Amino acid sequence: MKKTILALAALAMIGVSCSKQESVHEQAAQQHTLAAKLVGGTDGATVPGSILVRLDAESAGLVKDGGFSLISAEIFGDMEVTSFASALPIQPKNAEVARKYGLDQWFIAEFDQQTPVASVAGKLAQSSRVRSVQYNKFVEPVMSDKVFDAEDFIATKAAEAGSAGALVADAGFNDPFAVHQWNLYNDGSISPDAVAGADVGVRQAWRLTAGDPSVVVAIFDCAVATRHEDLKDAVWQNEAEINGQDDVDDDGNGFIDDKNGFNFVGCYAINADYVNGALNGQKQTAIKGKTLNSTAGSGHGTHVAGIIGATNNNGKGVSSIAGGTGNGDGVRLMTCQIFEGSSYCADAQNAAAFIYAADNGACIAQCSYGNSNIIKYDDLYLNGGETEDGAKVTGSTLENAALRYFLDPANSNHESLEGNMAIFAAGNHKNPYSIYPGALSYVISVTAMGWDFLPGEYTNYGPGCKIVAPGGQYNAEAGNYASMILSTGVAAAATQSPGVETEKGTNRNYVYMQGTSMACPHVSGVVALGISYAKKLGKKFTREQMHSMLLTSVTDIDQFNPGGSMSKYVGQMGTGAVDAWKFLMAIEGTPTFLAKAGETVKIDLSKYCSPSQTYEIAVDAATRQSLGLESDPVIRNGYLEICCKNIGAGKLTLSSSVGQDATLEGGIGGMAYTREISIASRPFATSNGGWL
Amino acid sequence: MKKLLYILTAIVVLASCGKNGDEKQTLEQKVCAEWHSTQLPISGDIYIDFNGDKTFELYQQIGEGAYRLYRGTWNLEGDLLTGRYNDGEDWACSYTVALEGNKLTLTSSNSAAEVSVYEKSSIPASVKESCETVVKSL
Repeated sequence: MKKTILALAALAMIGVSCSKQESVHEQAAQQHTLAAKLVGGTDGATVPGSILVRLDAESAGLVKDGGFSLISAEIFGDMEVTSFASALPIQPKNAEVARKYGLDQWFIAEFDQQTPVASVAGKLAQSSRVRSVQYNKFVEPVMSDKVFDAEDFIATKAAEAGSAGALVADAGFNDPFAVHQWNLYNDGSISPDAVAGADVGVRQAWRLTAGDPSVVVAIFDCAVATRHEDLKDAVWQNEAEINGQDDVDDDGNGFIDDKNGFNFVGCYAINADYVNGALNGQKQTAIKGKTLNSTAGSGHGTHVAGIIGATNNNGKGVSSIAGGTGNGDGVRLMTCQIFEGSSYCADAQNAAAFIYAADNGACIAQCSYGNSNIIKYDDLYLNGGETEDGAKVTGSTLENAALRYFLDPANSNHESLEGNMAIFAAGNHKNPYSIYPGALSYVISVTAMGWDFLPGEYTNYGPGCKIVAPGGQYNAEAGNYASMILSTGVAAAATQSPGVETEKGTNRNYVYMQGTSMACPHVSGVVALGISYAKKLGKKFTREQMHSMLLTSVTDIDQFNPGGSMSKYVGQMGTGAVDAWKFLMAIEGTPTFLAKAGETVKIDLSKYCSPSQTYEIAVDAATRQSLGLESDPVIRNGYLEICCKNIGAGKLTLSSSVGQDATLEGGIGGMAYTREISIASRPFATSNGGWL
Repeated sequence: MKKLLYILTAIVVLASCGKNGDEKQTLEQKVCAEWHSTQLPISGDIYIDFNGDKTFELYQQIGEGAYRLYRGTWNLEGDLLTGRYNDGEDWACSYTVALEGNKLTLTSSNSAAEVSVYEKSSIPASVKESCETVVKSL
């Protein structure tokens, strides 16, 4: 009897133990599921009462067909949800591409703001219908490192500031402030510290093109001043809305009154009265019940826009990289407002901005923003987690999906470009990493330099960084702004002091700013010029080809690095300084170099290959045979060393990558790029490549 | 009568020379012009402007890509054409010049004897505007 009882008791204990173990396993599995579904944590910088949910395809279809009530209990249980709607404005014409990135499966749930977002996230992640849950975090701007009014400075210190050179005379443009824009043309005369050539190389490029209105650049920033005297003719015009009725979605694109772009911060149309109000220092203007903050820095976006496309040759203000010749032939600037003073876009709105840009004709996304944390892995950016220094990173799966949607070749918005392009700032945190999203391998991240080819003291550098451009460097000792970047600005309330060092306080129409925020639009402008020129030549390139040409159309900046404390930047700023002229030459075609047959010759490729980069050279069998190559050509210090035994011709493909993190396994991958060159071997040849 | 014939013949000969001023020009003067390649040993397109002050501009497009501009000086002794780029480098070789009407034939004077043929033609403005300067003016 005892034995029987003992045996039963033992069995019961085993049973209990088993069920406990199963429970532990279930909990572990649940936690694993939760972790897998939850896109990162948050430290509070997230929209209260709001969360992003990605459903499985079947459930998403049900919700779209009006069947939310059928499955709401499965997803939310007894929790009260005030709204559950598609997170993004998917247009039927692009629905297939949206599906490719799962964008049609993302929804935004809204609930009582007192309910902790984390508890809602945990609950949602347990539903089998939920694929992932993401906090609706706020997007961070890259603030300008310094801001100064330009007009007083130019008026009083013009002689001191000097002239950047003969830019205006050379191009025949009559923009009065162009002589102060060393970033466009720098012959070294503006200052003893300036180095000739430390500019964006646009002076020569303008011989070939100064832009094309078919190129639409979306400015992801605070509002662009659409009535600014030097921008009004460059602003993208949505004719259907301009000629339509107020408060009506005249073009049926899902956005009401989006005449020049859209304000995604509050999801209200950009209204010129807002900027006008700011210009006149008037009170805040209310639109559709939403109060807009009239002093809330639309200067940053306006400055960025002016670098790319302020109208050239209009007798006003500044010149710009792709602002045309004064004949309405500059590129067009679309506002995708994701910042409004201290109000920042949440993830869903930012994602909507990318979809809007893709659906409404932009081929370049100009993005001077990003996550300020030091993020060393794509996975941490995409899925969230904690950085090495303990900062919490909220994942950006949705933003990335929308970015990929913008970049997709199916959404190409220009006849000369397959896919669209996105250019990001590297960040002003002095960190040895680019910020994300710029660090991703399929977008450009831009570091900043001064008028001497030296890195700006504020610039990020290192893994993720792809290319450098003028961003300015304030000379505090001399109180000289001339070394910063001059562009269009926004006049704010007249009561505010001029020259105040703040994002919000400029009171003139032209201002000096500095930062990678300013370097970034230089690259966007150069890319816009390149697309314009490709159109002129009747050529078409993929985004990857454009990347490759851009990254090999540079000036090596490391040759100017004096070492010491600056040595940390060597090889870390990208492939080199962007050069518009070289970029247009790359678009023109593959260069051919002449080599004397029968001996090893050195061909100067420094215009195409930064000496700080290493290259692999691919030679196909036909080229090897035609040129009689018995040994592999190599590149040393910017020179190609090649020995052609035969008279012949062929192509070499140079491959490299930039911005990768070689120190971390699985770290930032950088961007791979290639450059083709042609070699023709002759019985005789000069070393400079001259035909005779 | 014979005298009259000589005089008439002389008049005809002189009149013939006078009709074509070019024939009075030296070879050097005739070379001073803008030339465009019609036959090259490899794929390419060349424009050369031989100036009277003995400078030249060479616009070359080998394969594809932009025209590349080289500047320098040239010299003609007899029918042997030599030159130097403004970066100090001599031409890869000298050339024997043959001129026939608007056709200029340059034959390299080394063992390869490469032949390039050019015809008189203005250099298009588009070539000058889009060229990439490799060797500049002094």
